[in-house]
Amino acid sequence: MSTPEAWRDAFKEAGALAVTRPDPAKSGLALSAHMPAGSLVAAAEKLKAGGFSLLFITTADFTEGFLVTYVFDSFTEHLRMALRVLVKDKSCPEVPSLAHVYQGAEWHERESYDFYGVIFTGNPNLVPILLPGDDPIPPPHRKGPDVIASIRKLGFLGEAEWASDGWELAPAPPETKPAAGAKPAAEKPAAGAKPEAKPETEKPAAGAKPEAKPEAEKTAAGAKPAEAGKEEGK
Amino acid sequence: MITAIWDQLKGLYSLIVGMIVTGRYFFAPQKTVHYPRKVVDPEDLAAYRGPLELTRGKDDESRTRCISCQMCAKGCPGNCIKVVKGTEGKLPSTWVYDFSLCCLCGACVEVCPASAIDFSHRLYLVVTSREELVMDLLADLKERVAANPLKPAPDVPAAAGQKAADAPSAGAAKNGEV
Amino acid sequence: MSNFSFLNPFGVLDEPGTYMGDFYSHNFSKKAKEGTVILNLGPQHPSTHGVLRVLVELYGEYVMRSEPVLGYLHRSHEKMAEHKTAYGFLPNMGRVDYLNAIGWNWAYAASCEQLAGIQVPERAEYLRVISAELNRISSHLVWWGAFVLDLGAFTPILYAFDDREDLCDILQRVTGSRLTMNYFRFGGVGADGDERFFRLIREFIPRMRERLKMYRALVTDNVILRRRLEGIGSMDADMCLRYGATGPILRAAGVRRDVRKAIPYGIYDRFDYEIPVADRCDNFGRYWVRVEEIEQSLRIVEQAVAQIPEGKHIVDKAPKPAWKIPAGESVFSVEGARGEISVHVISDGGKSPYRVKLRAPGFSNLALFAEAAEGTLLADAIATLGSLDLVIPEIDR
Repeated sequence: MSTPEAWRDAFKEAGALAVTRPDPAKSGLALSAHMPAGSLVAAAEKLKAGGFSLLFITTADFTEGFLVTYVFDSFTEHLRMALRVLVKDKSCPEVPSLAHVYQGAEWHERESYDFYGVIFTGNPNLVPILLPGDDPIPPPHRKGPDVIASIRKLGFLGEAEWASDGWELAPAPPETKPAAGAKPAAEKPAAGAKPEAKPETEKPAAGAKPEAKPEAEKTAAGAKPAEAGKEEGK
Repeated sequence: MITAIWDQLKGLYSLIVGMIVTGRYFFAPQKTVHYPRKVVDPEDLAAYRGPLELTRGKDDESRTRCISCQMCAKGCPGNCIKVVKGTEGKLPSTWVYDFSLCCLCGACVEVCPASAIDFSHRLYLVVTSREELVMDLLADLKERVAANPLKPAPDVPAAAGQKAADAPSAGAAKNGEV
Repeated sequence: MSNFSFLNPFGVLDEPGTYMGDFYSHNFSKKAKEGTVILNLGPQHPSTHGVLRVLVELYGEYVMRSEPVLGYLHRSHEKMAEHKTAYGFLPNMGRVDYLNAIGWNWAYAASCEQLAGIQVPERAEYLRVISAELNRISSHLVWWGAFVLDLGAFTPILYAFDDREDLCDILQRVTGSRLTMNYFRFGGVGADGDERFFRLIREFIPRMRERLKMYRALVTDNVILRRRLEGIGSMDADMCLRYGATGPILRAAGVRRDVRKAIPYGIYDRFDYEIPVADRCDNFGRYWVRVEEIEQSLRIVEQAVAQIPEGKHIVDKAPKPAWKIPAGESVFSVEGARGEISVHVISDGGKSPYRVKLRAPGFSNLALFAEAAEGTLLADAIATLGSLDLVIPEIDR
């Protein structure tokens, strides 16, 4: 099973929401499959059985949520593929952990936990890895409301070769009005963390991450009308 | 028993080979340059990236070619250049460069439209406080030209003048104005 | 003097569970077993190759369990990328892993070029290959010297640095720096090599080959080194797959994977060279693979210097410092000295990249250590740590 088409069918079977084929000459990826959080582990097990290794896990912050990207490649032939999971709830972002399938994922997940606060349920040792564990700071890589971008507007994921109904990351048409192209992702609370994540000016209490929820509700009330106002105004 | 003796002989052989190699290199010439008795050959420093310096003017050597366009200051990833435009034409009145923030990337040198800045080959820069690393390059240019005018005195050899210019330039940085 | 606490200044003689420690040692000692001692290896330690701290649970001299603690050299390069321009982030790449600066330069520059569709002129491609392979040789020399230093040999590291002097001088002629090189630009390289540059390389290659023979006689064939490295620190192919380990570790496990041959980038497909693959998964296999790679890199440099055409060292209308990366996403991998370096760039078309992920090979390689060092003697665990060729700045970024 070593062609992109075969893997596309395998991911469809495993429950993918969409499969895109980005241009390998421009993006370096042959295939990109968007999985719901529940199907991630099954897809990863299929990849491991097929002889693929997890190269890295990276997270990026967008208005729709955190996009967690898992990049795989095989050591015997070259076929670089990405699995993506969109975590919509930023105040309590949870993704199942791959640490039981790929032991190397443990550290990559800890890194995403450090920088974005994404909680990987089932990770055997989810403590900070690069940031100090005994002096926690708010996740520093979250984007502030003036610089955060939208996946749909950027359109960098491209058109899907196959997408299930209601795949919410299809690129937005250029002149869309938010009322017509109802974005289901707009309902969730906006950027749960502090705006311009300045760790030196804010000293949170220990265990800042669970306590971010009441704070998120406070800022969400103020941020949501502002963000909705920005989107309407385009 | 035989293997024990054979192991001992193998070990002895490794030891002898090691002693021969290190013995040979003990008497080989060193590559270390014993500064300050010797210095690195300036020919080897042709592309070396030392702290920035302003290039000499075309007609008047002590007049910089800078036109205060701020491209270097904007392109610097470390924000270490401060250029203030003066009152006579486009010449700058202030050209301050904080070497403690400079990462020697060369963005300023590459982007300057007037070819006014370049890397110096100042390898032996020594300072005793962080403030000395904030260099006034206009004063430095005047010092260099005064110490080693390339025109109109063509009989002064450039190489000897360059080494002599290194010492006073470090001193100039100490009492640089502005 | 009823209080004798001065005899127990840091609480090390207290009952287990009552010592001071910190967050990570408390976390680690939760699963401690009877009769074991928990020690910190580092973060100040000459054999951890940087500021690495490894918590080990020792039963006598045997390592029962270990956990590396990272972050002592975290400089937030990925966050800096979001605040600098794309061009202004290039010098950072030389600092991520300073021993293999050209490899990181290449990964980032090529990732942006791939996204923007910039073609690099031929002469620039040859200069890229020459500088990258010379950088690989110098990185392997540092690894080799430091590795045998960990095992107790004090001389070879100085011989390795002697050769490295020549390499640093050669690379300085064309990049301007001896260590943290910022040589690559979008669309080519920063400067062209002159006549003296190529002459120095041509003189260096036969000299290095003589030195490799001497290294073999002095160190590789030495009985003590063999006994210390053979059969220890087993990392087989399945383990490498589970951890995502790449580079010489993978090749010593028998897997023939080198990014230069698997995903040919630049002009590597024009050269005739081999990939050393050993079938033994132990420390000596990894040692042998790296020493052989030095010879293969010399072959590549020899061919490149003979074949290099005339031309420009950078594309016409090359991106200036204010250049913006076009919107999109790009992953690019190169074969670094330590393994597969990948840079993943997401751009929104603005002044700075939106997200830059630096995938350091050392990060995945170090994750192997805990499993590989289980049950070995502490001195063997140090040898295993050295054979991984870690450079902590790239792991912590």
